Amino acid sequence: MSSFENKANGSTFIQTQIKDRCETDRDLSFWRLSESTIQSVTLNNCRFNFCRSTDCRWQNLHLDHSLAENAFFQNCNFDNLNSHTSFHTGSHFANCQFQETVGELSSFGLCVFCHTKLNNSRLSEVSFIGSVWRDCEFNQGNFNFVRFPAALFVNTKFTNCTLRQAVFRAATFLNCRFESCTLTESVFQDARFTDTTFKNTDIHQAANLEGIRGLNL
Amino acid sequence: MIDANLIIRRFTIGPCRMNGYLIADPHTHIGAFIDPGGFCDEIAGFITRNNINLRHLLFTHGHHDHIDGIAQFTQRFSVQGYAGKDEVRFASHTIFGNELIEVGNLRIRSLSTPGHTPGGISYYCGNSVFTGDALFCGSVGGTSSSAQAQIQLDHIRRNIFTLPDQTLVFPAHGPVTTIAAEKYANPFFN
Repeated sequence: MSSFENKANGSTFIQTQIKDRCETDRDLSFWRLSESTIQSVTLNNCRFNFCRSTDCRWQNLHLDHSLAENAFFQNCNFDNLNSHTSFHTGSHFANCQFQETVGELSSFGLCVFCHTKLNNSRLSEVSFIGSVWRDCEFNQGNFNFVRFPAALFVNTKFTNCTLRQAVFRAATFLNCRFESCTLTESVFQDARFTDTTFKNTDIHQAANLEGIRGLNL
Repeated sequence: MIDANLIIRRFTIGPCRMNGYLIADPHTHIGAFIDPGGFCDEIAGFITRNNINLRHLLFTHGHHDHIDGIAQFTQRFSVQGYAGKDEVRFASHTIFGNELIEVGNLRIRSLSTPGHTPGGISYYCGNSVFTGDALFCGSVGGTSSSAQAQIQLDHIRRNIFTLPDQTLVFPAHGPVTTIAAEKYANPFFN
């Protein structure tokens, strides 16, 4: 692994492989990464704020009780991201792909996702409050009590997803599509739909459809 | 490091899957447990490994899922209890909001957040606030009437949403969140 310290008190990694690191109680904020591979990194009770990563492959990144806020990821692949009781608030993901993500009790509040795919994710009680999704895809996700209140979805598809007790309260859907999804006991209270379709998906599985607009139920 | 000034650890405890939080001063290792709704080996292990001197039990309110572990804590540790008025019989210190509780070098400020229960309290320390069942991610606690619901919203606006936007919010149920996310996107306030 090679790196150099930058002025922002972080480290810069270019075409580097970072492997097998387990960090506890450390501040690793302001990392800059480009065209690098990050493999088997565990952050326990760490700060990892303001990370800037482009064209990187993240494999087996595990966060527990950590802060990873206000980050920017572009053209990055995340394989087996595991986030537990961690904060990713205010981060931006563009042209990213998440494969086999596991999350519990973490927050992606106020995050922006563009042209991003989440494949085979298993999330339980994860927050996406106030998040924005544009041209994104959720494929074969298993989501339990995942919360999207006041989120905005534009040109976004949910395919073969299990959304159990998902909260879409006051969310907005523009030109979105749900295909072969289950929505058991989900909440769409005060959600707004424009040009959004449901194929092999029964929105009446939801527990709360009060105040929704833009759908003929 | 999640909060530079205090040790924080979440434990999901009891059948209601309540989040109880152990917080401690990183210098003296004197600690408090917020909402002891149960006890488990994970808590015992963390306390032992980190040499925590647990001296305080802080209650956000008196519902059973937040207090069911009192006996297990008191069997193991010499602790004093803090709670809102008429919330928890065990608590010898009654707090109303705006008190400072000393835990080692930490200063924990109590914040009045009634509504879910009449004597509901949140606790603010460092860059973190522990909101019990008053404020959840994207939601608020259930109340017995619309009047109590309004009281809860008013107190959260006045005592919680006036904290800095970057403050980390640790509710008693569900995911963690931040003041900014709740203030700008929680549908119950917008």
